[in-house]
Amino acid sequence: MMQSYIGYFRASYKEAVVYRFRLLFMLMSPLVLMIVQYFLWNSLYDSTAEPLFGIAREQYINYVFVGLAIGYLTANMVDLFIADDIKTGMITSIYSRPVSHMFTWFAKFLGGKIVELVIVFPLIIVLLYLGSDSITTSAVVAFSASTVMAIFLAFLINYLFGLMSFVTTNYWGVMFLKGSLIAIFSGQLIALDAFQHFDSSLLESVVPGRVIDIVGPFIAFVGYLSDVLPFKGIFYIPSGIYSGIISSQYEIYRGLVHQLTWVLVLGISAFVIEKKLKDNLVVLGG
Amino acid sequence: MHFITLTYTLIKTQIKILLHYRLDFFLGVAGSLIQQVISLVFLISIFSFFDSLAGLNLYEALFIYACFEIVRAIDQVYNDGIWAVAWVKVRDGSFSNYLIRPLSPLYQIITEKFKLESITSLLVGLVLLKIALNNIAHELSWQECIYLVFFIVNALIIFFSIKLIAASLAFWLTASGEVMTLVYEFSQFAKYPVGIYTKNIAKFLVLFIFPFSLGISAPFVFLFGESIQFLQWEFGGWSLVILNSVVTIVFFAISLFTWTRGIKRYEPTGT
Repeated sequence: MMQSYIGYFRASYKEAVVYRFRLLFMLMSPLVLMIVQYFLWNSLYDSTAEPLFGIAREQYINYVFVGLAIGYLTANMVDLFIADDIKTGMITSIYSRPVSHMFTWFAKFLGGKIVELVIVFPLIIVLLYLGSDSITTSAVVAFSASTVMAIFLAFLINYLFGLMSFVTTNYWGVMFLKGSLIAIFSGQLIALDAFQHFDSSLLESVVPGRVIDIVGPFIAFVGYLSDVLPFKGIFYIPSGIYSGIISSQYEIYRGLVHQLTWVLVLGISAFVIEKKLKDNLVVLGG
Repeated sequence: MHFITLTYTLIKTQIKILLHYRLDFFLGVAGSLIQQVISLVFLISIFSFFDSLAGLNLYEALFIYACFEIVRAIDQVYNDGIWAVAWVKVRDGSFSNYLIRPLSPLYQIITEKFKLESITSLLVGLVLLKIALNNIAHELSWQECIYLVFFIVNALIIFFSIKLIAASLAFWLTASGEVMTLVYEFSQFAKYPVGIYTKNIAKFLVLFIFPFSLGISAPFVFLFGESIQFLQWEFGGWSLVILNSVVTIVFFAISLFTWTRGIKRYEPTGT
């Protein structure tokens, strides 16, 4: 049984190595975003003496940089492939094989990622040691554990979104929704502290009072949701630990437990949901 | 006339597809709206801490952001099919289908897919533009409206050209989806005022190599009498119009050149 998954893993690994050129470009894409973010945040910090949302300039820049590297490690298109299999009806041939659909994809996902993992991950760790004098080994361990769980979580989230194609058949809209949810609730757009430290009285000079009455509670609600939902586990928690935004022992443990809980919950849900959806599968004539 | 009826028929087909996948369409619109609202909240929350972004106040920055949304939304609506050329169509040989029909391949690619979901982003962009203008206390005269439309059309041509150049590379590289993703990522620079890019190399990049920012910032800079500084030069007023037009024309010409060259080179794989 294990043998077949190793087969998927190796096939996917070989594909990644063959298309090295592609890999190089994929590596460069997050770099572009890093540059934009770097200039944006530097420009913002230039206009204030105080730390923003309780975060210092270097911390925020570290947060953005390592976050993008993690975003790169966790990026996958499993959802698109599953959606395509469902839409084209290929899924029936996949279900007829004597292997688990989810584990197959997980093996393929890891196979495609292994090269990047071996290059990028040690690089981040080395930079972490070089970049800070006060870094403790326990923080490095916590960061590594958190990154591994982020990779699991990213896979599960994509897998579950891919399964939504059973219901919607088309995947364009769902993909858009996924992108938005991740951007907001994972802390990619802005560190989640921004929602918690949001002071609506500061808005008084720029927007009318009626708007503040809506925006204030709305942002508080977004902050609450971002704290509960699984998305912060794929970006905010590992990047937060790396940059020191999450620094107290309690907060680090809380973050790791949050990730672990969601990995378990989503993993089990994926099994259960797929079993349910499979029974109602409709495939248009081939 | 033939083209008009043809385009009309094709759009009708697109709407039928959307109506067929209603739930997916609805989720897409919801996703797009959520993203809009949050991006806006992001902008506002930044301004709750700062008075200015590179010397611009909230509504001035919002003006640029709105232009970005409008241009990107229109580009997404009509020019989304080109992605498929970069990712798969050249590689798997399905590009051949365009060549055997009696219509320009570009016309076919554009009309093959209208991403009507993005119309919501367009509407949000227009509303933001109105809010920004109201609060800057600036009433656009009809001449200014023409300038605005002119700059937006130029920005659309810049988006179109850069995407086409990247997609054309597929004829040489078999697939250029990654290159195109990378290049398109540079459009993110255009969300914010050019002034935040303090390093000359970055400015050069956003003005001349991937001139998304030049296209998007131009209407603000022109209409509000500002200027874009680069080294010892200063572009404002008519010098900006000239710079903007020249860059647009050059990119458009390069894109058509690489595209036609690429098609001549195209060899279907037959798989």
